[in-house]
Amino acid sequence: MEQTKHTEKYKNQQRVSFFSFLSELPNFFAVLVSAIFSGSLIVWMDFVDSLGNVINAGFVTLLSRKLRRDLKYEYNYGIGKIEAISSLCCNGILIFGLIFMLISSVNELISPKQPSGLLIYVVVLKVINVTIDSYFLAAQYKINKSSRSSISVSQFRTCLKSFSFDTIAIVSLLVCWLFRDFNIVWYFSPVICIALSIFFLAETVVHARESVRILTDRTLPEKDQLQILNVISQFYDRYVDFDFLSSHISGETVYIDLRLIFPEETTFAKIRKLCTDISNAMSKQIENSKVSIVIDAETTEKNTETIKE
Amino acid sequence: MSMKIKQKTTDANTIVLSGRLDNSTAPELEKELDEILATASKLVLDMENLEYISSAGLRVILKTQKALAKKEGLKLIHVPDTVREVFDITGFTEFLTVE
Repeated sequence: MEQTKHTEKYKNQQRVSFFSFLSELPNFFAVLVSAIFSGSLIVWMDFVDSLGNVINAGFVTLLSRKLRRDLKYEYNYGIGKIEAISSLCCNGILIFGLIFMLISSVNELISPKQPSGLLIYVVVLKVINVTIDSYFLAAQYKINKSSRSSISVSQFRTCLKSFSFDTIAIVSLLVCWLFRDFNIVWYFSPVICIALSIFFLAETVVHARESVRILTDRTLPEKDQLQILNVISQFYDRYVDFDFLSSHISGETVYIDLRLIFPEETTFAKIRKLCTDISNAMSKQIENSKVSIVIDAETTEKNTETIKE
Repeated sequence: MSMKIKQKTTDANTIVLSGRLDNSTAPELEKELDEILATASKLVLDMENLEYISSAGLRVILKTQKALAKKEGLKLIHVPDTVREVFDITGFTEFLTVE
């Protein structure tokens, strides 16, 4: 049942992302051609945004396809790291594009150019684009509401960003086109682009940093290591031996792996109770901790002989 | 700073520890104790000159205690106050024999 829900969640995400990818492709090429002919910075900025959307939608489509299989048996710590790698790739490309836009905008601010008369065609293109954006924004909102995951949240943010950006772009392009004969309007495009570049850059850097933080495993401070031992010592009489396999911090989560050894005759209920007690005690001592416990039976001479036979 | 592990010549079951028992020195002690535990049924750890014990060192102590629990046991002697404080914080004093 849970497996079906899991599969369904990523199936929907894959479908929406794939349509988003397909619908973004014509816009991507149209904006590229418009940017080359109009030379407008806002249109170039739109191209960077569209490039980010194409890569992002493509990535998420492929990722959702992979995630339809339940990967928790393949990856011990879930799929957070796969999502973080994809997010980092998308954000990295966006950061380069936005820095390029920022430099170009400053350059145009120093020596402004008259906006092209072709901008009106780009406005028409943008209106079609905003209509498509609003459809995907609504679809992603539904997915996010029914089955929330880090992919769906990040995709919703991307859709919202696209919608907002395209709306601002329509207004800016219209102003540029209507008042293109006024010298002061020549500065409008680079100023808007600088403001948007800084805003998107700040937002993208925050997301990229978050991905890096998830991808970087950190060692637990000594204080926490002692707390782990404190918890283990509280249950000293309820296991025969133990191994502290590993512990690390990934993102906000503290992962603790233990191996406990029990006498062969210990019942499953007793072991389960101890594991729950250890996990609960650990959560009280260390926030956001996830404890994995490997269970083993004590190797007695009798056991060894049995294995040899 | 390193740690010195010395087996007392007068008593093969007494190990004298000095220096720091931390991440870098704990594996060495663990290896040494594994060899001793293969034959010994009791063990005394003399900690008089032990300056510091980290969580890695505590793990080795706990494993040794567990290994000897059903035998004659592990005894810690001459434990400095700083080390004893760590044992108190982690609750190790509840099951360790500290003299």
